[in-house]
This record gives sequence, C-alpha cells and structure tokens, in this order.
Amino acid sequence: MEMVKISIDGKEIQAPQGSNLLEVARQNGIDIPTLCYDPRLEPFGSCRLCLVEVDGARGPVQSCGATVNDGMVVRTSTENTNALRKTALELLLAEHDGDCLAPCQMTCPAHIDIQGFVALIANDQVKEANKLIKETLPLPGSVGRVCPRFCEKECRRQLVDEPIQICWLKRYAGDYDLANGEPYVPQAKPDTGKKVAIIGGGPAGLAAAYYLALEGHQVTIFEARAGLGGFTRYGIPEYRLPKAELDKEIKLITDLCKDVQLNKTLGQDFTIDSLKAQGFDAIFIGIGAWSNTRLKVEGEDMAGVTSGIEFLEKVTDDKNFPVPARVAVIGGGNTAMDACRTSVRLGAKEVTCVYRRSRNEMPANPHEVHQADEEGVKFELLTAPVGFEGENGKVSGIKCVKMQLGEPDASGRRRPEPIAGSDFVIPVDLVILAGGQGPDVSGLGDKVGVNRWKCIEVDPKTMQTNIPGVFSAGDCQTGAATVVEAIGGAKKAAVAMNQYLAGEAVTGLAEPFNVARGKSVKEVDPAYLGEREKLPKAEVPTLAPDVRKTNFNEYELGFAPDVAKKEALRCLSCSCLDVHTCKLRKYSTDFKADLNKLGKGEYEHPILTDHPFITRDPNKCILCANCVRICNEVMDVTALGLVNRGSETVVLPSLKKQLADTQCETCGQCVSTCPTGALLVKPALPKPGPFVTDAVASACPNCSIGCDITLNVKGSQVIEITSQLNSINDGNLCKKGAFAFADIHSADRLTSPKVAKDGALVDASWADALNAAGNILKGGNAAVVVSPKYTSEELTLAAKLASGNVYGAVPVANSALLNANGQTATYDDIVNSSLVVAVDVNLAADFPIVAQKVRKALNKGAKLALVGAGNDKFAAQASYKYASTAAAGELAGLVKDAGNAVVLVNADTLADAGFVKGLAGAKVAALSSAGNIKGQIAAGIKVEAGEYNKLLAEIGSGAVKALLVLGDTAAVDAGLFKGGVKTVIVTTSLKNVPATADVVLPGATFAESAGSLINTEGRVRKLAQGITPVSGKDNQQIIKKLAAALS
Amino acid sequence: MSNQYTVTVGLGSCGIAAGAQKVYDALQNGLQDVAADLAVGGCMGMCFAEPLVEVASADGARIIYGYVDPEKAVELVKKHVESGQAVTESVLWMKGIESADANYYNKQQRLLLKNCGVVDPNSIDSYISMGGYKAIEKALKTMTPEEVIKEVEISGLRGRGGGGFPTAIKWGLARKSPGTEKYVICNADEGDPGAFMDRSVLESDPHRVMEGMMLAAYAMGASEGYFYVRAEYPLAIKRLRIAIAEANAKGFLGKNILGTDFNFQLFIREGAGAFVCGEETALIMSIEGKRGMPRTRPPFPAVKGLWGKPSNINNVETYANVPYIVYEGGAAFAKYGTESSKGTKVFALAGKIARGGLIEVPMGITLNQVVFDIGGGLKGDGKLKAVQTGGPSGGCIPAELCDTPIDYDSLKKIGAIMGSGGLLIMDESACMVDVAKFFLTFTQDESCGKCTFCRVGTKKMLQILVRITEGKGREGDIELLQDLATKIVQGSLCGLGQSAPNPVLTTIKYFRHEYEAHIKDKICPAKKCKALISYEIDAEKCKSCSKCAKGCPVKAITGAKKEPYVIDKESCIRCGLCQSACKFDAVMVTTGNGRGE
Repeated sequence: MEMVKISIDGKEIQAPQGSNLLEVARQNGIDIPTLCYDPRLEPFGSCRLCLVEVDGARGPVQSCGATVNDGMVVRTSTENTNALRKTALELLLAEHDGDCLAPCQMTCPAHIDIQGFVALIANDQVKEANKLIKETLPLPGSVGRVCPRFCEKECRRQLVDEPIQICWLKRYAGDYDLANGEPYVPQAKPDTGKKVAIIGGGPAGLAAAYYLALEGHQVTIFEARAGLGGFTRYGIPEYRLPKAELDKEIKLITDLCKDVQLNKTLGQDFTIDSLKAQGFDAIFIGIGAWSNTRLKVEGEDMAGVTSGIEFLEKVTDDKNFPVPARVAVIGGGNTAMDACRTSVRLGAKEVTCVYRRSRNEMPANPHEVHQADEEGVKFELLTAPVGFEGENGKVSGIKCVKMQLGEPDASGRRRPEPIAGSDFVIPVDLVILAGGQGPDVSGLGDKVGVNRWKCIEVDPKTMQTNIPGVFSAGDCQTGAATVVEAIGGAKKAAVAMNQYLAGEAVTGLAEPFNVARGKSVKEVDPAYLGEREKLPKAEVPTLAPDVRKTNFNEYELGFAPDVAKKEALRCLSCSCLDVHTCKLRKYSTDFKADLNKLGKGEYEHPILTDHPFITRDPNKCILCANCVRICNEVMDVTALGLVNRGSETVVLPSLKKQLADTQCETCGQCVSTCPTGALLVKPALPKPGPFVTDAVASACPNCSIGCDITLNVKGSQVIEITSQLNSINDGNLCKKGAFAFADIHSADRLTSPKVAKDGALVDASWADALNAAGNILKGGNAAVVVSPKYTSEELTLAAKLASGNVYGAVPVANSALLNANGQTATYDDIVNSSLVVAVDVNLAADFPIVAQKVRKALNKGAKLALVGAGNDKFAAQASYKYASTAAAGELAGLVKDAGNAVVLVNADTLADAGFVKGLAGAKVAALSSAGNIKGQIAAGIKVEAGEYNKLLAEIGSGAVKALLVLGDTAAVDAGLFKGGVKTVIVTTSLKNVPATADVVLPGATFAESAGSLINTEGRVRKLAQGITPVSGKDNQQIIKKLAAALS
Repeated sequence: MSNQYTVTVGLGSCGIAAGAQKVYDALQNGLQDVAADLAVGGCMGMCFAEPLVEVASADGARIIYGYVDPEKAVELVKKHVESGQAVTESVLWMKGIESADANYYNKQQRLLLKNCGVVDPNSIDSYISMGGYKAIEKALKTMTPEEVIKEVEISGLRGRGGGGFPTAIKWGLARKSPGTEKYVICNADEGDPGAFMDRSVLESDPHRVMEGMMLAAYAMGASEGYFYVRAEYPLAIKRLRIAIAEANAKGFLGKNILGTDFNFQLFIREGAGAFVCGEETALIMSIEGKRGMPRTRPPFPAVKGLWGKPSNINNVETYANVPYIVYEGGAAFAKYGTESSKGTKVFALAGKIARGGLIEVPMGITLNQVVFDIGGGLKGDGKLKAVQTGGPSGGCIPAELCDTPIDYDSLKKIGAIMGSGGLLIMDESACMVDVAKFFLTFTQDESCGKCTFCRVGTKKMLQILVRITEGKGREGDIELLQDLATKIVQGSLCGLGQSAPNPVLTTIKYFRHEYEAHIKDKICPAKKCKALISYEIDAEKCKSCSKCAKGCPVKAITGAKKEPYVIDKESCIRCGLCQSACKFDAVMVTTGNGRGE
C-alpha cells in the first residue's frame, strides 16, 4: 500500500494513502474525541466532536470520515475545534436527561459512592461495600452512627415512600468489616520519603492521615489530647458512639502512620515553623472548633456555668462525673442534645433545654430531639437567656425572656424577637452553654490566614492555606460542622497535598461533569420512576428510653444482615449505570461543558425495559445511531432504527414495536457501542452498581469460536461481559458471549456438596461427598462424561479418571474435520478468501461472529457458495447454491480456481466429511457448539456420536454401573441416567440434576476457571479465573480430589 | 390545427390555482364556432396577472391577456379573432407595448424560459417544433462527450441549485470516475418556501430538462437517469411521465438514440417531502430507499453516488440551460451575466411585490432593478425594507444594499447567497426577528436529525428567537445566537445546517437594533410580534359602529352607542380582526407598553 507523509499536531506521520484520519491519529497516540465513531462501523459523522482543522480545507473537517492524503497538515486541538466540541457537547446535553451520579452521592460532603456500597450490600458483598466506602471515608462505622445524613434528605426513594436508611447501612458495612475476619486495610503505596505532619487527630486529621499514608507518605499525627478522635471522642457521648468501636476504626488508620504524638499542643509544644524545621514537607491543620461561643450576658462567668464541649469532654474521661439536680442546657444543636441526654444519664433530676426559637428551627437532628424528649428532657422553647443570677458567685437561675418569631433572617430561619415584659427566671444548679463553637486559632501564630470568624482560610479547590504546603480542613476551617464535612474536606486536602508533595501543580480533586435530573429532590418530576412498589424502610432496633437513660450503653443497635440486605434492595439505583464509562460525561468534563448556557434535557420518553437483557433510555440518547448501525451493518439485523425526523428523532424498533418483538438476536452489540447510558445491560445481580470493575481478559467457552472476552469483575462477582476491539472477534460478541454469564450468580447456584440420603439430596461435607463419590466410581465399569466447556487442563485431568472410557457431553456427527490439521482456516483466512463455501451450517443463527467474518469477505468482493440447509440470511448474497453435497459437484473446480477458498462446516451435524475433504486446496473451519471440542479430542476424549450412543446403550444394559458427569447447567443429558446407574455429578446448579443422582459436587463456571481451550482455528485461548469459585474449589481441584478418592 | 389563431391558456399550477382551468373549459365551449385552436400552455411567468390567455396568430405574433375570468376570456378571444386585432385596452403584453405590466416581460432576458407558456408541455411535437432535441442531435452526431463538457465549460454555467459549483467540472469528475454504470440525477426537490422555479419549468417545458439530462449523460457516459421530484408537485410529475413516455415512443429515450450507440433511460422517484433530500447525498439515500440523511463527503457522488456508482446531480434549472448552451454554443450563453456568473438566472419573485412571478434575468442585474423595474416596486404604498435571497439558507439584504448585483460572489460578500432563486420582498411591516424566526422554524423542522449542530443547534436558536419575539429575550441572547450560529455553520454535516443560521446572522448584522428593541425595550418596532403589541381604539376616530366588537372572537371589545369602543387588553388575543373590520381606521396597534415583561 502506498504510504504518505502527513503531519498531525506537528507530528510527522507515515500512513497508508487513503486510510482513516481518525484511526491514523489514534495509532499515533493522538486521541481525537468522538462519540459516534466505532471502528466496527462505517463513519457516520453525527456527533461532530471529531472535527479537526486541515490546511487548505474550507472549514473544519470530520476526521472520522476523512482519508489521509500526502502532505496533509492536521491540527486536532485548536481553540476553534475545542470551542466547537464544547458547543456540540452542550447541545447534546441540552437534550440529555438523567443523573450521572445518584443525588445521595452528589449531596454527601464526602461524596461517598453510596449507590455503589448499597448495591454491594444488596449483592451480599458487604466487605466490598466497606472497601468502597473507605475510598472516600475512612470511618464508616463511626460516621454511620453520628452523621446528620445529608444524603438521605436527597434520596429519591422518598418520591415513592421513604428514603433509604443510608447511614445505618454505612454503619452496617463498617461494623461488619470489623466483626468478620481481617478488617480491610488498603495496601499503601511504596514509601515516597516525604514527611507529613497532621496537626489534630480528629476526623479531619485522621482522614488526611489515612489518604496521605496510603499514598506512601510518612505521616505523623500531633494531638493535643490524650486520645485520638477529636470531637468524635470528646464531643459525642458514648451512648451514640461507643469509643471501643471508634478506637477500632482509628487503629486501622494509625497503623498506616509513621508516628502518633499525643498530648502535643500546637503553639505550646510545637509550631508550624518548628514542624517545617523538623523536615515535614507538608502540614495539615485540623485542630477543630473547641472554643465555646459566649452568650455575652451578665453572670456568664459564675461557677456552675460551663460549656457543652467542656462538659462532654469531662464526661468522656469520667462516666461518673457528678451533676446537680437541676441542669439547664442552652442551645438547640446536637451538642445541646448530647449535653441534655448526658445529664439525664448522669442522674440529673431535671434537665431543661433552653432555646430561643421553636422546635422547627432547632439545628439538632430531629430524631435526637425526639429521643431527648423520650428520655425526659424538658424544652423551654422561644426562650432567650438574658443573664444569670446566683449567690456567692455560684449560679442559681437563668434570667429569661420569652420570644416570638418574626421575619426570616439571612439563614432563612425566622428571627426571634423578645416579647416585652415576659421576663422570668429558671432556677438551676448547673448551666451548660451549648450555643455553638468556633475554632481556637491562638496556637497558629500569625502567619496562617484566618477570616473574621477565626476560621482558617483556604483555597476551596485545594484546601491550601496562604502558606504553600500548609493545608487545612475540618471545623477549624469551616467553623463547627459535621464529621462527614470534615472528612470530605480532608480528602480534598489530601489529594492536593499529594500533588504538592509530588511536585505537581496543586489543582485539587478533579471535578467530573455531572448531569442531574434536578438540583434537589423537590425539583424532580417522579414520572421517570414509573410504577414502584411501596416498601417501608427498615428501622434500626433501639432500646427503650427507660432502659437507655440510666447508662451510657449504645442504644441504637444496628442492622442485622437480612435487614440490611432488604433495606439495600430498596435503593432505586438513581445513578447512571454507565457513569464510569460514559463518553459524553468524559468529554463534557474534558471540555468543561456548561449546562447554564443551553440548559439540560427534559424527561420526554418512557424508559424502555421490555427486553429481557437490555434497558433503553431514549432520554439519554445522543442519536449517534451506533446501535442502529451495528445492528444493521455488523449483525445484519434491523431491530433498531431511527424513527421520526429532526429534533423529534428517536431510536426505536420500526413501527415502535417492543425490542423483544423484533428480529433482535440479543447479542448486546448495541449496548457495546453506545457511548452513553442510553443502552444498558440489565444487571444479573440484585443491584446493578454501577461499579468500577476489574477487567479480566479471558475467552468464551460457549462455542468453538473462542472469542476474546473481558470479565468485568467487582469483588467476587462478574458484573458484565464485554469484549475489546483488538481481539479475534473485533470486539463483537453474540448472545452466548455477552449474556450467558448470568448463570454464574444465579439464585440456584450450587455452593456445597450434596449426597443422596433417603431418596433426597442433602448437604454434605466435601470429605463425605468425595468419599461417597469415590466409593461409587470405584465400584467398577465407571464411565466419565465431560462438558466441552471445560478447559483443556480440566479435560486432561478428567481423561485420566477412567482411561479410555471418557466421553464428551456434546457428541459430534463426525470428528474427522475437527482433526483437519494443516488445512485449518483461521478467521483471517475467511476474511481474505475470495470464495467462501458454507456446508450445512447456519452461520448467522449459530455462529454470528463467523458470519461477520463472512460478511467482511463478501464486502471485499468474495463469492459465497451455500451447500445444504440453513443460511437463510446469506441466501440473497450467495453466488452458488446447492441443495446438498451431492448436487455440489462443480464446487471442487471453483475451489481450485479460487486458490484461497475457505469451507465452513458445522462439525456438530456434518456427516459427509468426505465431501469437504474432496474440496482440495480449501482451508476448513469446523464450527461446533461444543466450545473446547478440539481440547477434548486432544485429551483423548471420545467425542463421536456413535461412541456416545454406545455408552448410552451400555448404561441402559447395566454394563456401565457408575457414571461421573462433569458438566455445567446446560450439559447434563437426562438420557444418561438409566438402568440404575450410580451417578456422581459435578455441576454448577441443581437445575438439570436428576432425582436419582447419588453425589452432586458444586462445580465451577468458566469465570471461575483458569486454563485454556483450543478454538476452531486450532489456536489456544486463555481462560482466566475472574472470581474465586463460589464453592471454594475450582474444577481442577475437584477432579484431583476425585482422582484421589478413586485411588 | 389549421386555424389562423392559437389560443393558449397558462395551465401551470399557478394558473390553475388562479382559475385558469375554468377559463380553459369556458374557452373550449365558447370557441367552438371561432376559428381558433385551443392549447394548453405552461407558466407564462406573470403570476400577478393570472389567469393568462395568449392569442398567437399564424405569423407568430403573440398577445397576452391577463387578469381574465372565463367570461372575459371568451369575449376577448372572440373579439380578437373576429376583428383580427388585439383588444388593446385588455392587452397585458405584446411586442412593442410599453406599460408597467409589460415592463415585467420586457426587462427580462428569457433564454431558459423561452418556451415556458408557449410550448405545450404535454406534446413532444410541440417541443420539437420549437427546436427541441436539436441539441442532443447535434451532440450525438457531431460532438464527443469531451466537446460537450468543453462547451459547458465555455458557457461558465454554475450550479443553479444554489451552490454555484461549476457544472463542467462536476461533469468532468463524473466522466473521469472509472466504471461503466453511472447515473445522472435531476434534483427537483425544490423545497424553499416561496420558490417555484423548478416546478414551473418542469410543468411548462419538461422535455427541455430531459434533453439537458441526456446531454449530461452523454457527456459523462451514463445510461440511466433519475428525476427526484417532490411528491407535492403532482402536475410536474404527471407531465414528466407523459414526456418520458412520448420520448420513449419517439426514440429520444431508450436504446440507440437517434441511431447512435447512445442509450439512455429516465426514471422518476417521488420524494416524500423532506427538505433535506434536496441535499445531494441525502437525495441519493432517498432514491436508494433509505432514510434521507446526508452523509459525509468525500467521497463525492461523482466518485461514489447512487448505488455506489459515479453519479452527477444537478438541479432542474442547470439541466434546462444545457440544450441552449450545446446548440447555440457556450459563448452565446456566456454573453450574458458577469465575469464570474455567466448566463441568466430564473427567480421566483414573491412577497410584498407589486408584480410577482417567474422571471429570468441576466446575472449581474441589481436587486433594485428586479424589484422596481421588473416587479414594479412594492405592493400598495409599501417601502422596501429587505430582500431575502436563497430562501431559508439565504440572507436578508437590507434595502440600502439592494444595488448589489445578483451574482454568486457579490451576494456571498454581503452574507446572502444566490440560492436556487427565491426572492422574497419585504416591506416595512416585516419584523426582522420574526422573519428570522420564520425561516428557522422551517429549517429546524426540516433538519434530518442526524448531526448535533443542526438537530439541536437550530432547535436551540429557534427557542431563543421565540423567547425574544415573546418579549422574554435575555441580555446576551444576540451574542448567544451569533455564537451558536457561527458554530452551526462550521460544524454541521451538510448544507442545510451550514446555511440554516444565515437568516439569523444577516438579520442581526443589518437589523440588530430590532433585536435589541425586542430584548431590552420589549418593543416590536414593526408591530408584528403578538406578545409585544396591543390593539387600541382611537376614541377620536371611532364612530361607535360596533363592527369591531361584533367580529371579535373573544368578545374583548365593548362599547355603546355614541361612546367610543374600548378593547380589553387582557382578553385581547391580538388577532387583528378588529383592525380589518374597522372602516374608519380607528384601530391602532401599539408596542412597548409593558407587554412581554
């Protein structure tokens, strides 16, 4: 091919004349953005993202449709092309409706992947759930107990019934991890040699320490008090957050740190400068907000007036801290509630909460207020203290005035105004001021910038203070706030600090582009949810007020596993399932698309779930028509089309039929090419995630083509199977490849061995079951039948179990062609042949991937000859058609003339191997529905139907007395179980197991098996173990155990 | 056919719409004892004076009577034939006559339209008698294909569909493309609102277009041709069918045409009314039976067109020019026009023009000459405000720029385009934001939906225009429109999107103050945008006749005897019926009184 020289972005490139410009750029490491280009399809040009500038061209050039010519000068990323891309994206977004991320995650200050961890709990992967939470929040158990639940306020489930109990689920995941086996600690990266000082061991400091230690930095925590945890230890009472639980979570963090220095106070024991002098490369300040806000009224300094945090801190150290009979707590926040309820627990006779507004305005969590009420706390609402009276310097009463609510103030709450002449006195012995806290920055020195509220000032993107290398987050930066906000800030700071330490530009956490159906749940039209069953939320077991108010024991007891799972199943899964791979979101992030310019799309079309495997959401469709085109161009099916015109265009089956009622072959190719979440695979698991998955390259054992597949794995589960463009199947899959994995996690999956007892299969230990199996098979005259989906390694082991008496579970009519070494066709041979001969094979229906290869050959001008039945789809394209092999006499000549002819046969059914052998000079592709049939032949397993039938006869006659079936759900032939044969079955599900089975062992699926298979081309394809077998043993291990039991 | 007089009734769609069929029927009855033959004609071009009847005498003299009705037509023809004299006071046009109406004809240069209204479109003999099929005969018998292309090159003919691409180059590319299967396609998917050039030509002189296609086919080596005609042109399709059948019967189509080895067959494909199918790649898709959507070029149709074979697509008018060029020589054609835009151009003159219709003028004539010299100025006492050329893809040219010569390049320079030939004349009553909205409503509706910029971009632009005309325009909307427009022009896949923003860009360019008035002052200076206007009754002029109140569909007008009537602004729907009902000019339209805020 003639090579030409072109220049792309200043890079001199040689490429074949006439090749696709976008592909050439890609091959040279220049990625031109595109949404509608898929190398499997003809260029289409709808998205307009791939427009580039070419010297001499009249305007921007669509690179996916352009071909390279000598001397071409191309610029792929100019101000103009990028502006066009940004506008194109904004236009697409103006018609795009959905939620990139779930509103819970968007609202959470720590941006926890809530939908993800809830889904993992629903899918029985609680350990994975905890792991996921810890990506953004290192204290799930503790925060799960005390969080004010910003997320739940935005939970869309409330549009159906009530929000999900997200926080209790988070606590559940955290507690479960600590209670079940080794707690999760991520692997820290190698030591960077950088030293980081964390000032303050509260939630912010601990979170920063955690994320920085994981990055490989040497972290030292300096804490002024004797214990770590900050406000979670000293400000939140034991009955809400048991310190033992907190300590367990903290320990997992401090284990990652280099050093923890307790009782070291900033400004006294060290300063920012001294830390720098000690060689700390970066410093994080998270000193909290421990300064009590004063009321500034008369008598505030009297004895018997204390602050809420001081009080709570003292009680933390002394559970028997004495309180007098009458306690008044001033304030309406959580600290006030904690002080009230702690006072009750310490034995105060009368506890009064004094608050100047009404109950509706109280900042405390409503359920805390409710529980305080239950525990006997009195509320003096709309009451403002104006001074204190006392005797001998000790307080005896609060001078109060009644208030009424006026106009709303800046915070939106109605401003309280005093009622003239309403003065009264509350007699008290102890006053606890809990009207709020602020940071105490006195130890900072004067270099770190603070604002007028004495909060440390930072760049909100990076959390860096005015001093480079010094960062801050938490209450000292925000003013008194919540644990989750502190952790969210700290995570942000940690990201920026890591950049700083690596010497990179300090830009902070990248903020991906997000679309939302509404800024808040109030804006959301629930129409998109369709009909949903109402399910009441699960309540966490709570001790009765009388039981709990006398002690500091935790009174909210957390979810039991079944309750947690049920609650997790209530999640509506709002987030787009394509969020991690959506190209529209990626480019919208890259090009900083702005939704304010042209707005966002509206919900206009019902979300279509009629197909058993595929969900379609036209509201997310960008009309690239990839799905329509792949269905037509690659699969030769026209299940989908473009309906209506212009801005009314929508992708639907013709006549607006249901997708399942079309010619749809359920190959999932449409989903694979969809650049957004408009087409999705329905989840095989209870909840779909979305998850960031691990990609495990493997091979499909479901027929002899041996396609390259990718197992997308999360924890112990296969979420989806996809393929990659650079594969023998060019990224294409058929129904078997894309969807057969549902069996892996099906509800009827067999997980433990079973033996027959009194006519029923009952659970047994592996040892007992193997023993029983050994006894049966040792009995003499045993035969083995093994599935062709087994790996070659498994087959080799199986072949030894009953040498010479091992059969393939899917026998073939004639194995001669499967052994046709030397003239075996590769898939490239098919594509490059000038004459394709198909004998008795229905390509499109049975071997769609080979059908695509044939279509490619035909498009290049090859001729097609059809012999025998089948191949309706290709009939119109065939140059030669013969009703049978007998009628195809002239083919030998045609094959000879072609020189590079390829013959495709269905090895399962073809009896006349002689005919094919007679086509001298042709290469042969023997196709079989039995995946590793060539592996079976190589292992010496009998695969011919004649032999199999003989086995059936021998079973029937009683000549074969014992049978071992190594199968999968599909490959257990009921015809085998006759004549009282004793049977041992290794299988993945009881679905096809006969009632007469004596021993059943839980086998592994292909996703749980490492090994190889030999495909039609004779090529060895590698299978990888994507997940550990559900039974704990893979097939090789089981076969070895059986071999041992036999000997 | 031995009578001395031939009476022709203009029976194009335009004439029929104006009642010409009834005139024809009346003449058929009324002339039974008159020594005149009655004939069907196509469009004579003087649409403003339809129905038209021409009386031609044996010596070739033609006299056109206009504004006739069945009775008047019979009376005129009888009088004319009996007296042997034209009925002078009723003559619309005859040779040598000078009148405002006659100027409409006299100032034109009719080469292409020479036969239109004269030849019988249903008769190949009629066409042959006017010199038809002489060009193809000349080409087949005396010229090589290259020589045909050379003549076209000398003529300087450029694509009349609007693009202005040199026809000879296009033909040359198709000729050079390898392969024996090639196609010539006639784009008769005329879709611009207000344009009717192609329809009139097809209805009036179908053989001429066919002959042009035959010449193209001969030049590039094609043996099949397609007419892609929109289904909304049933008369054109009917006459084409007759013409193709007759040409087949006479051996002008089929095998070994005129005894040469040139074979050619013509087929008709009816378009289903999608404007975008006028775009050549979409047109090809449509002929192939696929969804009419443009595809990216290259490959150009000349390389890979219909069924993947080299194809040449020209519009009706381009082909119709070719017989003249080949027969008379390219130089004869190139005598007309300007340096870069040769020959004549057919326009459909419409809008607020005194005399609208189908005209043919030499390239280079100014818009003012067309409007005033040919069109007779504006309708009523209107004042020229702007001319829209090129339909929805074109631009709005303000009156002060109407001395611009009509040629491809001059029009492009001022932001407009030649287009296929629609000329929409606007007077001061036109709101330019509303005009932009009108054209964008059309293009956004006709976008095929394939590419982002056109599909969503035009929709967003239209939404902005709608809100501006509703008085809800926002600060920055003009800039947003311009930003979107320039990006849609650059980023769209095909000509539809690439040109759709032109009306908006040119109206902003030349009438920005009108946009600003709508956005900032919530005023529609032309008092057109309903949301921004109010109807009021001038108490001085009101005679309390109650006509307005009686006609008001929402009963928004109240009044009593001897009291001036009053319109309730809240319930008024601003339909304007009161204004037309009032005989005393008492109903006024005002703007800028708080509407739309």
